[in-house]
Amino acid sequence: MTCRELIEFLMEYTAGELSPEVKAEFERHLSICRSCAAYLDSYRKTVELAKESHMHAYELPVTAVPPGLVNAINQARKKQADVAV
Amino acid sequence: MGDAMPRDGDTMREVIEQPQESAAKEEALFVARLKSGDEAAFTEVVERCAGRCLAVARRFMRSEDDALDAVQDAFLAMFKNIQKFDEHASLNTWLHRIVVNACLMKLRGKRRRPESSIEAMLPTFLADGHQTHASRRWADNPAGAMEHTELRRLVRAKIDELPEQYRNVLLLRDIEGLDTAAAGAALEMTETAVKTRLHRARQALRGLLDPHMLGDSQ
Repeated sequence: MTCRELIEFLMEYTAGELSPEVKAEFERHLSICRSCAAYLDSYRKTVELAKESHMHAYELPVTAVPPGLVNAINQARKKQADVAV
Repeated sequence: MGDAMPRDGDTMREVIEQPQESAAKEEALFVARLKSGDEAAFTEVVERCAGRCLAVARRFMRSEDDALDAVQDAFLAMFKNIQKFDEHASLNTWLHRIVVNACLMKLRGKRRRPESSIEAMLPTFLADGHQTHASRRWADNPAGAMEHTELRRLVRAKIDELPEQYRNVLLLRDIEGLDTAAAGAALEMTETAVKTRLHRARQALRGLLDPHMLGDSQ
């Protein structure tokens, strides 16, 4: 297995989707190739960092909603309801 | 003290399930109010959920105005389709999908700038299959080298540098938590295409972050 092949199937490896034979070959390569081991480690960290980077934005409190937004939505809904009638 | 407090003799399962059951009943009643056209319920759902919806929209849209528009579109779509909502599903999950779809529709309508190629962001290889530039180990705790806020800002900025179609796949799968099938449905692409793009997006993001993440010993 080459570095190119290993990196191509990294996602399947991290998701546990490789067959036992390919996984064994994968791990043999990782045990002798420091560059690919470093790549795998940084690939995993990338996924974690991406998740972490948006976690706090997700917990936006209701108070941080611009005051006009709730009114704008309610007004637009009433207009939508009037059109439907 | 409220009813949700555990009482002597309650099993752990009962203690856990009571609040869940009561929350499910409350939600079913709330959905019934929405379906019957209850004005107060409409206002309440906006006040209760707009914050979370805006947070989702901000991740997809590159301007605050577009994020606000997407949230408004999402709520209007929700009100319009409330009769189709399946009571057994979660209202929050349903609304989340509607917001994501509203954002994707808006982004499709925009497509204002030419897509940059992802190729330059991907690792390169020699003819024998080795990496052209050997990868180096990242610091074990990249957040330690940087303030958490600074690191999150950097990662978000690098995600924004990805070509849009790759950025959207990464947002849907790794951040919004949609599975491959749901992401494919939202993006109107096959599951295989979602998988390929996600892997490329992650590789490109790794490459963009690499110079900032190397340990002190490198």
